[in-house]
Amino acid sequence: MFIIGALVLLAACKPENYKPVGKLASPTASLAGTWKITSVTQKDEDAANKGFPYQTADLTQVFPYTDFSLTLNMNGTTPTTFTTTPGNSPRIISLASGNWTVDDPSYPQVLTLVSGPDTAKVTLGGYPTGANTALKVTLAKHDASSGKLLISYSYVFTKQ
Amino acid sequence: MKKILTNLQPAVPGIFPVMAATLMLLLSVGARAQTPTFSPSSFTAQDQVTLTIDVTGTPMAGVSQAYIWIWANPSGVGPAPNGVVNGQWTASDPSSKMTSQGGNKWSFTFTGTTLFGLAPADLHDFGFLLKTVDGSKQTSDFKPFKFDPLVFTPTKLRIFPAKVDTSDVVMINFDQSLGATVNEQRMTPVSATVTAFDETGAQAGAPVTVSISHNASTTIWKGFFIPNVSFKAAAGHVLYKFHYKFNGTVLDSSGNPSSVSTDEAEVVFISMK
Repeated sequence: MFIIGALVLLAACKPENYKPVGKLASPTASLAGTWKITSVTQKDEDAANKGFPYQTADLTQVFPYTDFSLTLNMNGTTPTTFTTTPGNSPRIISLASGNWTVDDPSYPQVLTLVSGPDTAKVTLGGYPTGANTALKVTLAKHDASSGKLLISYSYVFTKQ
Repeated sequence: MKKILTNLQPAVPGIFPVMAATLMLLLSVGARAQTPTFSPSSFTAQDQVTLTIDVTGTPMAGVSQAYIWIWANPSGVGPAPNGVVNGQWTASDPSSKMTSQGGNKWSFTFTGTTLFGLAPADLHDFGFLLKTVDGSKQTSDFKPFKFDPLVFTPTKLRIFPAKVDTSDVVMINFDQSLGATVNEQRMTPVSATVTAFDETGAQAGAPVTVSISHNASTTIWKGFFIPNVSFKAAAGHVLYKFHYKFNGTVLDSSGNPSSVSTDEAEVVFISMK
């Protein structure tokens, strides 16, 4: 009886017809669009390095950061122009418009924004791909003479 | 200020206070134009640091050799020994000789713990002046300049982050539980006042009143501002430092509110990139 049952169950098994996973969405292409800030965190990197208390502060509601938007335009998979619209927010990126590039088209880590002679670099903290739809960006500030990391600002953007 | 005026004997009775006041004024005016720079710009008592100072406009302008006279903790916290290199006022030690950087610029390199013979925990800040080897000429005092702490110590007035430049969001904090006076402990804080200064010591614009708040579960009041948004230095100048204090009210013996403020704290901007 047991053997018959096992045979019936075995005969019921059929291979599932899974579709191919496909290519991973391009991280660079995922950056295109208009992004608005949803979260701002300031970190005292020197305090964190020393293990001091008071290492981070949530600035999201301190100033109207959520007004700030960043638009990244692309031509196919090639970055082209950008614009920033601060509204009443502090200007986290001082450049109003220009061109943007990435350090590595396949897996970018640094976005470079160029407007005439001025340049701003932001470090990506995460790609807005898959389940993660947020664009995370970090701005680091170093001691001008020693190069020591002192402060970082982490901005989380969501696509509009 | 070290040794200043100690050998002056007034030839005319009553003239000494006038001479002293005039000299102090001249020295202070001369010193206003000078702002020392440090490399690195922030340092602990265990770090080697090079200070550079331009003495143009002081009695030391044009001298061929300059010596540093340096001392610990001019702000009054902790022991206050002179630097081990100082020597005698009328005969500076050769190890206190400064390095010429051309023109009226001089530099001196030191490590706080070695220079003052103190543990890092005992070193909070330092002051210095420049002098000739025999002390016949000197600048006014430059002070206080803080060492970065190696151990966190709660303080009544504190900023976050601990080091900021002019474009940072600055959180000023007042921990009322650490108030040193009756008024600071009793006051109901209502605002903070921030005043900015340029590199010459001149005030940059008008003081700014900052709104403050506090979490009911703590005794820490806080307010925020962005220096280069709230203040503009005059043309040709830069924001160099700011002062801040918290304001509030206490009830006097008649039950009437009276305005009071905390001490003022000073923060020098760090140059960042």
